[in-house]
Amino acid sequence: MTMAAFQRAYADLAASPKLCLATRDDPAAALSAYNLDPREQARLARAVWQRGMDTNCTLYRVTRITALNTVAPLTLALIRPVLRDVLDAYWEAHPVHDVRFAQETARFIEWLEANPAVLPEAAEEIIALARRELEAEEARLTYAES
Amino acid sequence: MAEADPGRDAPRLGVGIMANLALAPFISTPGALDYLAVTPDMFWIDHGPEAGPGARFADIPSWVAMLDACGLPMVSHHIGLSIASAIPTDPAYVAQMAAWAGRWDSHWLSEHLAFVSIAEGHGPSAAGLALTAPFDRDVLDLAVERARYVIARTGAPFLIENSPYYVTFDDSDLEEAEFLNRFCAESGGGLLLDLHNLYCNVVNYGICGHRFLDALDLSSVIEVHIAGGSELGGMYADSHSGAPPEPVWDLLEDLAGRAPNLRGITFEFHDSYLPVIGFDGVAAVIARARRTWAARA
Repeated sequence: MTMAAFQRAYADLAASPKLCLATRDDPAAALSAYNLDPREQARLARAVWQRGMDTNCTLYRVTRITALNTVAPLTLALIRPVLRDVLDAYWEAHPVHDVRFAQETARFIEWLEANPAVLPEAAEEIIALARRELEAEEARLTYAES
Repeated sequence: MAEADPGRDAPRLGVGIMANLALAPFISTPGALDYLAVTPDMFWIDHGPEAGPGARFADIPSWVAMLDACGLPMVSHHIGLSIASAIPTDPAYVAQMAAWAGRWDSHWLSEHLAFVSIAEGHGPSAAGLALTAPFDRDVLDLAVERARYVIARTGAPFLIENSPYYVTFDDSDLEEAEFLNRFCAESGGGLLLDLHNLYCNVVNYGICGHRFLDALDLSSVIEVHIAGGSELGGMYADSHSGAPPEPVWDLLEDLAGRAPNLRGITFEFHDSYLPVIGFDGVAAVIARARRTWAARA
């Protein structure tokens, strides 16, 4: 039974328009990393041509950006001109979503610190702002548990 | 066909709303609602299995305070069970479901027919969104087994909610209605019929919603969701963006008269749309749903 592999591949497609395009181009090659049976591979090869796969990709991005925007809205607003490129690069480096908003934001900040070139010139100030927003969220959560 | 009422001795509650913090003033208004549907996952912080027993789940006090103050009957609507996931059931999560249901006297629990967790190495990880699995027999077996486990651990009625799907698998083993009927018959669970999710599928795939109702065992329907939606990337999506559109009301009127075990109608909307609909708009939806509730056979 390869249901787990199928679900993994389907979720990866929803997370990656790039993988969807690669699967349209060559399903066997794009999905070769998954242990799919022929029926499952055929299903996903058809799925990437459906308009709803675009919707799934959008919903995935909405979910992931919601985590960051909930904790660090000022930071995201500040980097809006480069936000799409920044998030594409971040999500490529960290394709697995952490549903815990504070942890996801902490990981994002660590990634920004390791990749300051993706930010405008005031990178240090932007990262400092993100840190302050995360600290405020962590303080709220600390209160939540006290 | 299901042989027994899956709602068991749960009372007929009337018309309720899905709780969110923006609604606190409305929820606390005497007589505004008959019950409150709660997504418990939004009221706690889950530190994950690595936190260890007793340390994994923590209340969010500002949210829980709303429940303390409301004094309404409650039902639990979960988003974290991932009933269709091909990964082992998370027993600590189910224990938390049971603890929450006991704490708030939830009359029933429910979850979506979807998977939100996927296999990552030797453990689970988040898919990043709720995805609908094909309506296959092996998925059915998995969901039935998990539902039986939840029912055994919580002792409460358990419902599964039909999902909107943006990708279809047209070679599925079963039709959606047959899948849901079998789930209820084999698990002992019931159906939370989300009429707006159904309407999404009507709009996106041209199916007839009333014929879909004809194909369901409506004695399994314990709760109904109504909501509004919006266009997203060329598809009509379940965005909970305001009052239900007229076709959803038509489906509700059709269903209410022939779902003998219906216990409640829940209005869902996202708190970010409150400035658009306003409390008056929320009250108007509740009032209309109450008229349908009162007129049911």
